[in-house]
Amino acid sequence: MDVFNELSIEKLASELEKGRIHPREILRECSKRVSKVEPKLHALNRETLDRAQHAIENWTYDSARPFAGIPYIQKDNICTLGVATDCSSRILQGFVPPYAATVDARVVEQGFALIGKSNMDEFGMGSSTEYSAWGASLNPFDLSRVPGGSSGGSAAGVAAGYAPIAFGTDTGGSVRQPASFCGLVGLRPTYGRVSRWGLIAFASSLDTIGPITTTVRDAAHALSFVEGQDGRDSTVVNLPREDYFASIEKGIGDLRVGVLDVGMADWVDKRVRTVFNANVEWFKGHAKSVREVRIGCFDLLLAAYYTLAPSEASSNLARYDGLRYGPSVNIAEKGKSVDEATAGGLLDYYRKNRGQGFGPEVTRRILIGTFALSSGYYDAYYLRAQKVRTKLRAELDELWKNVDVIISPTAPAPPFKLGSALDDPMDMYRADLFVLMQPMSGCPAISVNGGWTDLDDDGFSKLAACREKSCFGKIVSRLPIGLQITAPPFREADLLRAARAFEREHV
Amino acid sequence: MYCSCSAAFGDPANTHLCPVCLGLPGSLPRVNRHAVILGLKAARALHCEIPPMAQFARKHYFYPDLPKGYQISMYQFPLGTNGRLELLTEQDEATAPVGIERVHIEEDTAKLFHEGETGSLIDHNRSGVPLLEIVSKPDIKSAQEAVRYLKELRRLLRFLGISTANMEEGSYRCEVNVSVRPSDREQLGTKVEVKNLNSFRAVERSIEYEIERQTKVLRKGGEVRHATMGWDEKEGVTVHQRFKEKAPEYRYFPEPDLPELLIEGDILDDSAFDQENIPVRKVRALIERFGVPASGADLLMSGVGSPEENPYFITNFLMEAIVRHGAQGTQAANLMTGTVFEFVNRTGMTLDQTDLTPKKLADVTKMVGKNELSSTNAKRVVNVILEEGGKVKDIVLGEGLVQVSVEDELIELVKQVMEENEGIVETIRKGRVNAIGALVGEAMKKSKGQANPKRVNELLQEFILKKK
Repeated sequence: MDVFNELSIEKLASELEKGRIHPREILRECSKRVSKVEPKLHALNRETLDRAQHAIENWTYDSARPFAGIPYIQKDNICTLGVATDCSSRILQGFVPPYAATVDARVVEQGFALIGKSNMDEFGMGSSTEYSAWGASLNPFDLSRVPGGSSGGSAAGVAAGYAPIAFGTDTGGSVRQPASFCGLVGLRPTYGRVSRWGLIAFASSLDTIGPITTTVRDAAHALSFVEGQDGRDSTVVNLPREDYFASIEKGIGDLRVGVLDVGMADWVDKRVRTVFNANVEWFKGHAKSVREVRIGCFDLLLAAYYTLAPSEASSNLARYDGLRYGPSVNIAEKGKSVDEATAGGLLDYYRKNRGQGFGPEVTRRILIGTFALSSGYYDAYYLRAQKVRTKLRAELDELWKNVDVIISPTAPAPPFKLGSALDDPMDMYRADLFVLMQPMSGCPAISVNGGWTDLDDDGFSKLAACREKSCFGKIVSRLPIGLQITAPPFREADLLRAARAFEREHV
Repeated sequence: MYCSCSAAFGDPANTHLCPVCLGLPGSLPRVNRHAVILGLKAARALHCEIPPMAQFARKHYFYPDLPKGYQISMYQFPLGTNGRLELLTEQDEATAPVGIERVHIEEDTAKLFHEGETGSLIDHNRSGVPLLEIVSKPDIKSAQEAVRYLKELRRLLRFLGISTANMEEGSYRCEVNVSVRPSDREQLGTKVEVKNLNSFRAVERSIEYEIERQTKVLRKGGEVRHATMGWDEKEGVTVHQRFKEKAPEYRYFPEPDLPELLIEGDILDDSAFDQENIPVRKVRALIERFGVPASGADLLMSGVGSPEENPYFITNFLMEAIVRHGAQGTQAANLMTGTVFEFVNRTGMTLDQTDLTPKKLADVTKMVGKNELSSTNAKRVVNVILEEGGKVKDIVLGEGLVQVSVEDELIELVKQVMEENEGIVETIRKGRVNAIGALVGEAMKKSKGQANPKRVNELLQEFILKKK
């Protein structure tokens, strides 16, 4: 079946409507891929194929729910009712939410069938999925490389054809960067668009939920049915509904494009630069105007983000102590009475549970965050980092007077090798250089495949093992490079149409 | 405070739960508008400066009764600052008000039950219940003043419908900070915090104990160390809980899940209220304008005998009797605090459930004023109305309570009594003036209680002591 080689929810919905396929067949095909590839790829923390089977049992086509019966993947930090959700962390192992995240509830309402919870960097902290307590996920294009993070499992799963759509969370680029590393579309909505109810918090003022899809139109569909107030998240703005499809094919003849000038210093891989320059040329030929834009405080963003995010994380993760959910180390020590197990006292209890439950990157960030928030340091670090946001917003507000969207590469380098960024935490942080501007200002952004690059010699031999066919069923000997488009807050319509225009001529 | 679970006290453990007050992963807070309104009302009643914006903040510490590992409270931007609580002394004289540092709202923790051997249990019903925190300025100068402050504050909160403010149910809690310094020094001494105070008595005793303890330390030339003490009710002493060399590290930062609270528009309107309508002011009005005796005024403001929804019912009743129907203030107040309260306390009824009206009360006092009814019988009449109902005139006539005040009749009565009790008259003449009481008693007996005892006494004095 052709449609399975390039799964898309729109295409599948069309086939379902015409009666040409049944959800059973879709699920069967997806299950086949999961069984074949998952042992190598490790994109999922748990499979829920049986559940999905059950969900599509009595399916009949309903035009009010055109996507019913289509499989989806949910990131494992989004609460799914009755399905374990552990954020790829030991400290939440076995936690089964008694309630559903708004995003998940709305997806389920549309009739999508959950086929699995995806692997991720623990609690969303990481850019490669290597910080998962359950082991890394791999990049379907090259199993010696990372799929990106923290939504690496979601991206890998979609790229490997497990499902046409997955949801991820983007706090510091965690939807866009893995989408970029896996040749997919990843959308980070404006902060305040989509409810965070049920999203297990990492950094409350930076977290968003966004779709990872194979097409831009699919992303637009996904945004349409998850966005909007739900009466539970006080940070969601009350806005009238927009029809993204009214403008999505309009093209960009009237769009003024800004090209992010970051000096394109040494830290941007020359292969990325090559692809990006080609992208810029394309925009020059199609947009109303193209000009370079500079963000004065760009150099501060990394430090500011990596002060704020850990600070909020140290707060949001304070609740994990083994008392109410998740494994409790002391009590689990068999043969010991409660007294013996907690002989060290309450503090010892906390230390053991948290010490054994959190991985190295999470521990690192909690320490940094606790420090940055403590008295005597709060003003110098947390407060100053917040001021960078104000500065950034002011600068962007000025820029938006002259441009409608800003483009840049999504990542400064192609998907890197497993283990190559683990020695120095800063190496991992630098992978985020292009994707922090949006969380720090609340702006929406989308990553689409901008082009490809050949594998270097290093990767070649590793790839030989699965050279004949990648998970896609295509022969792949290249790595994807993502193009990122950023728009002003709440201007997803422009974002989507710019991405669509580009995609139309590139895929 | 941040979810819609019930705040009811006393239900089975862990029955008012939701992801928010349990602090489940992925849960988010939502502000309880009504709690904000009540908090603002309190701030305004305490004459606080109300800011244009308030902000919630996270206060972090680890403890099993704090599910999120932080409490959503307020820090830099509370609901009100720099106010005062007006107080009255025991003589109900106005006294210097106690300054209010700040008023803010926050959420309560869960409740821990320590089972000793088997461990501790956590009941999350209380988790997330709204709390109003009111911090006083260091103006209170004695244990008694502290208790008066707490009582008046409690009365204010109850009368405004902000809280049941009940120490036994845990809806009114207090912590005390005590410091002492030599009288010639400006700067305040090091303060010591005292916790575990479960009654006004505990507050009073603990403050007195701390004052004494700290004074002793300082007199010996020592230094008072900043510490947190627990009050041991049984032993009557404060006990070290921990030494706090510096303030605890709460790592406050603005709550990112809740936007700033703009204090304007309908929130201001809904928390508006009449500054004259606070208990202290009403008490003063009763004393100064309506001639109500001081001791009675406070008692009238206790809320006893009033329908649940309106703690001002009794005072409004009294004021209506005085202002609308011309009742004599002192008389009417005494009847309320005496006869009415006694009835209410005995039967458990509320005043509005009886047949007594402000007009009837006024009519009774007017009769006393005109000497048509003795004060003793006035009480009787009111009692009958309370117990059985009826009209004032009917009862007075029916029970033969009309007071004999006609001067001639009284003179006649007095002369008779003197003639029948010559012995006593003699002892009075010889100096035992008190014995007049016995003669008054005889007169009352003879007149079947209808004589005006006051006038009888006056006449006896005139006849016995002035005639020589």
